[in-house]
Order: sequence, then C-alpha cells, then structure tokens
Amino acid sequence: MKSLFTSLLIVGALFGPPSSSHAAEDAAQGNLVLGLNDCIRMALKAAPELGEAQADIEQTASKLDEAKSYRYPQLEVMSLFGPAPQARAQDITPTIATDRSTRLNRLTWFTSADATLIQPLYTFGKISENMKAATHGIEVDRSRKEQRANEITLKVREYYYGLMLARELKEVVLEVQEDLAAARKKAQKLLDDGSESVDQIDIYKLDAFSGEVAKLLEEAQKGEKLALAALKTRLGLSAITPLDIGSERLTMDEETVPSYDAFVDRARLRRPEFRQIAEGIKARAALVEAAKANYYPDVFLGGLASWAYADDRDRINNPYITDQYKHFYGGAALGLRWKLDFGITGAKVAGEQAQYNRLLSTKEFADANIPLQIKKFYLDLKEAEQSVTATQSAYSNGKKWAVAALANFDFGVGPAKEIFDALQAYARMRAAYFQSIYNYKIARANLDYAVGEAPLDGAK
Amino acid sequence: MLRRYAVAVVTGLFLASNAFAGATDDVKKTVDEVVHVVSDKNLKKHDQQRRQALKKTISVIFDYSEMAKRSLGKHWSQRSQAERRQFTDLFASLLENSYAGKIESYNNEKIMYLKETVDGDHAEVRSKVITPKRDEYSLDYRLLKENGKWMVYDVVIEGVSLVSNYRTQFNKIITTNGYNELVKKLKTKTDELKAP
Repeated sequence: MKSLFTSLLIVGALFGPPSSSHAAEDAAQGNLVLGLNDCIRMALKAAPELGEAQADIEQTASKLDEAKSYRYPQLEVMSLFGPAPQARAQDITPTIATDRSTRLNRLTWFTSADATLIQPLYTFGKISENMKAATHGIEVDRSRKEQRANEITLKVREYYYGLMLARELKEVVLEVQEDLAAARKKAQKLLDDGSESVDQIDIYKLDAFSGEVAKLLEEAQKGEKLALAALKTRLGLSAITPLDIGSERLTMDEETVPSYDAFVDRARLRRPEFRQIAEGIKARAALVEAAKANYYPDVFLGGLASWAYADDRDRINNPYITDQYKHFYGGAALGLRWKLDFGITGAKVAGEQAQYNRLLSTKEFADANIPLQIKKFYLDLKEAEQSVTATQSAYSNGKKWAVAALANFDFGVGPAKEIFDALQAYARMRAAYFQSIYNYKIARANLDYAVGEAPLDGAK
Repeated sequence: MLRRYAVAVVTGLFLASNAFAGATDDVKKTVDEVVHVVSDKNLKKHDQQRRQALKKTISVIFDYSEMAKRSLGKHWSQRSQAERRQFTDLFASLLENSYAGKIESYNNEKIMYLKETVDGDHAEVRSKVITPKRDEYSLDYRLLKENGKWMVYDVVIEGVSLVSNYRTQFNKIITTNGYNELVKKLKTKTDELKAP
C-alpha cells in the first residue's frame, strides 16, 4: 500500500505518463459470468450434501409409510403340497380302528392353504405415535437439508466476496506498480536536472516501495486465484471452466440494519436448528408414548380360513374331528394380543425418555447459544459498519491531503515528501476501506446464516 | 488518483445528466473543447501544438487574475501593480503547465453535472467525475460573472478548494520568509515545468 502513495506522487507531482486503467477484464466470449444469486443457485444444485439430506428425508418418509400401513389388515397365507396317507371313513365308523398304519404303497397327494387375517382395532398408541414420530422426523430432516443449504450459501458468499476483495486490492496494487515505474523515471529526470523538488532519498524510497509492491501484487493475485478456484469447486465446475463473476466493484450495501432483538426473534422463526429441535422433541415425545404403549395389549379383529384336499381320503363331517388333509373351515373373532416381559419394555421406555431429555437439554443449549452467536455476528456487523464509515472518512481525507499536497508541489510551494505521506495514508485507508466492506458483507452473511435466512433472500 | 483529479479539473467526458443553463453551459463548452483537443489524433503527434491548444482552451474560462488575487489573499493589496502582474503571470503559467500535462493523460473519464447554484454574479457548478473503473470524485467550479461571461476563479476537488489551499500555503511562506521567497519558489517551479 505504501507503493500507492508513491505511484500517486509520481503521477501527480512528477507528471508521469498517463496510467492505464485497470478495469476488470471483460469476460472472454464463452465465459460463464455469474452473479451472486446465480452462484448460490448453482452451488445448491451441485451440492452432494443436499443429495444426502434429501435421501434422509426419503428414508424417514418411508418410515412414515410403514407406520401408516400398520393401520391396515395383515394377511398371512401358508400353502402346502405333499404326500398324505390314504384314509377311508369306514376306519372310524362305527368305531375308530386303532390298528391302521401308514404304508408307503398306500400314499396319496394332498394340498392345503391356511390364511390368517388380522385387522388392528386399537393399539393404545403404538401405530398413531409412531406415525406422529415419523411425521415430525421428516420435518427434522427437511430442516437439516435447509441448514445444509444455508451452510453452502454462506460458503459461496465468502468465496464470492473474497474474490471481489482480492480483485479490488489487486487493482490498487497494479495501479501503484505502474505509477511507480513512471514515477521512478520522472524522479530520476528531475534529479538529473538538478531540481530541488526531488532528492536521492526519494529515489531510494521509490525503489524500496517497488519491491514491496511486487510482493503485494503476488499476494493479491494468489488471493484472487484461490478464491476463484474455491468458488468453482463449490459450484461443481472443473478447474478449467472459464468462470467470472458479474459484480465488478465491492460496494457497501444500502440497507438499514435491524436491531439485535429483531434478528433473534427472526431466528426463532426461521433458524433450521430451532425447527429441528422443536420437531425432534415432538418426534421423541411420540416415540416415548409409542414405547409406553407396549405395556398394553393390541385389540384386533382376526379372521381364519383353512382348506385342504387329498385324493383317496374320505371327507369327514364331524365338529369334533378335523382331517388335516381334507377339510374347509373358517371364522372371525375379536382378539387381544398381549406381550408381557420382565423389564424389556421398561428399558425401552427409559431409553426413549433419555433421548427425549437429551433433546430438551439441546434446546436449552440452543436457546442460550444461538442468540449468543447472533450477538457475535451482530457486533461484527456493527463494528464493520463503523469501520467502513471511519475508513471512508479517512480515505476521503487522505484524498484531500493528497490533492492539497500535490497542488502545493505543482506550484513549488510544497515538498515531495508531503505527497508521499499523503498518498501512503490514502492507499492504506483505501485498502482498509475495501477490507471493511468485505468484513461487513461477511458479517452480514454470517448473520443471515445465524438467523436462518433463505439462501437467495440473504444474497445481498 | 490525483492525476485524474487534475484531468477532471479541465477535461473529462461530458455526460450531463441534467441540462443546465448559464454557468454550467460555459463549463461544459470548455470541457467539450478540451476533450476534442486531447482526442485529436493529429495533435497527438505534435506535443507542443497540443499543449498550446490546451492552454488556449483552458484560458477561455479560467480567470487567472482573479485566482491569483484570491490566492494571495490579504497580501494582494500590499503588492504593486508590477508585482501583481508578475505574480499573476507566474500563477497562470504554473496552473496551465501543471494541469495541461495531466489533461493529456485523459482516459475516458466521465463528468456528470449535478447542480448549479447562482447567487448574483457568483455561481457554483457541482459535478462528479467517474473513472472507467467507476471510482467517483467530486469536482466543483466556482465562477464569477465578468462582462456577461462566467469565468472560473476556483476549483474544488474532493472538497479541497485550490484557491483556499494556495492562500494558506502562500501566506505561510510570506509570513515566514517574505514575499520574494514565494516568487522565487514559483519561478523555480515554472522553469522545471517546461512544455514538451
């Protein structure tokens, strides 16, 4: 930055040749030129994390479908086909013969089908609570996906603004570097001509600054390349894809920043983590109730149908006797299924209750720490805002100082050193001004993330 | 940066956002002429001719005598007619040479005329210089009506009045080392600033 003042010294005081403008190069034809919102959209589209989050939503949705399906009847069918002994009714008429045996040469074939149907009527909450848990679980997963999207948005904004800052600083350094060369030439000429307005120390200063400027330029160029590479990666683009950003200058947002309390209130409504916890608590409460429901029986309506057929066996019609190889009967009944254990259900309830309690603690943590996080980012924002105002004022005064110093030098009533000092202050403040704007934008991006603003709403 | 200020003082591409009458028109007319001279491809090959053409154009609207008088402030009344003429000539020469050199580095700067304030024979034309990189600088002209024509007697760059600045600087030198020391300094500088 010191070099900037040198450059200006040269330009103004020493009547250097015109310095060419370092306006950002136009994107080559075919280049992908994206604004901030375009970058955010592309990053959200390309992000593998969101694919994972979507898969989680779908998995939880399948659990909801499963829970819902328990409301419907379940049918179990078993079918058999195999050998059976031949049998005649006379073997049990009028009396049951007890000297019959199964002989291999007197076998026949049989086939049978048994169907059992169970329609749950009342489960004391096993089904409904699991459905509720799954429904809230889906909301938890949706909030997680939203959180991932907000994280991605924050990163994109960091890279985007970082690239803009790097370019602003690069422009400053390039201007300085170019002007330094011209200044050096002019200063040397004035010195050779015996001018009192320049001395050898000024030449040494110029040379010293040249090295510093070269170093600053390398740093600025590295910063630009790094930010652009990071942005491409986040956008899912290959390293060789020609990409440029649509924003040319890093300027302050024209907005009235709401109060801290307004941010906190908004966070309670929008922050995905708050919603995750709220929905998670509801889901866990439902799972606790579902576990407790296992203490109670299931009331159901049962249906049974059994059919069997075999050749070479007489059909027996007797309510006391059922031929397992040749029969048909069915019926329906109201049923009660009750599974009793000695501690298993209790342990499961305790486990679910512990998970529920854990979430309550997480809620307490979030209630205390999310506002704290917002406070930090809010203070960062206000600090940056003040810094922008301060550096803008300093930058403006640096310009005034430089204008006056140059005007005096032009008339021979002011020393070259005064211009050096003025331009040094001007350059430093100009760089600080851009840095402050960057800090403001990053603080705003962090605040939007902390509040849970929608990605594109927050793209200022 | 400062070169651009200087360029803007007397040049800059005219891009008026509003149509003003009187003082603004006079300023714009001169600015247009300066741009024409600077952009002339034939004159670019002849530095001396171009410098002369620029000086001629600038002198049409700049009242060097008034600027010199105001810059010397209270010391003006203590100077003889000959001293005043000498001082005015030195002042005009320095102003022409120093700024003409910078005007030649004109680089598509744009000027937007923002506001004109007229108070009797005094007027102020406020403008904004916009560089190709969209940096903006304020540039205001203070004018005095002489024989029905508006003439610039002060230029305010980024809030810095050149006349006020010179008055402070000149007064400091005169108070410390005397009037002759000031003239000596101005002469020395004039010799340094030779036309190309």
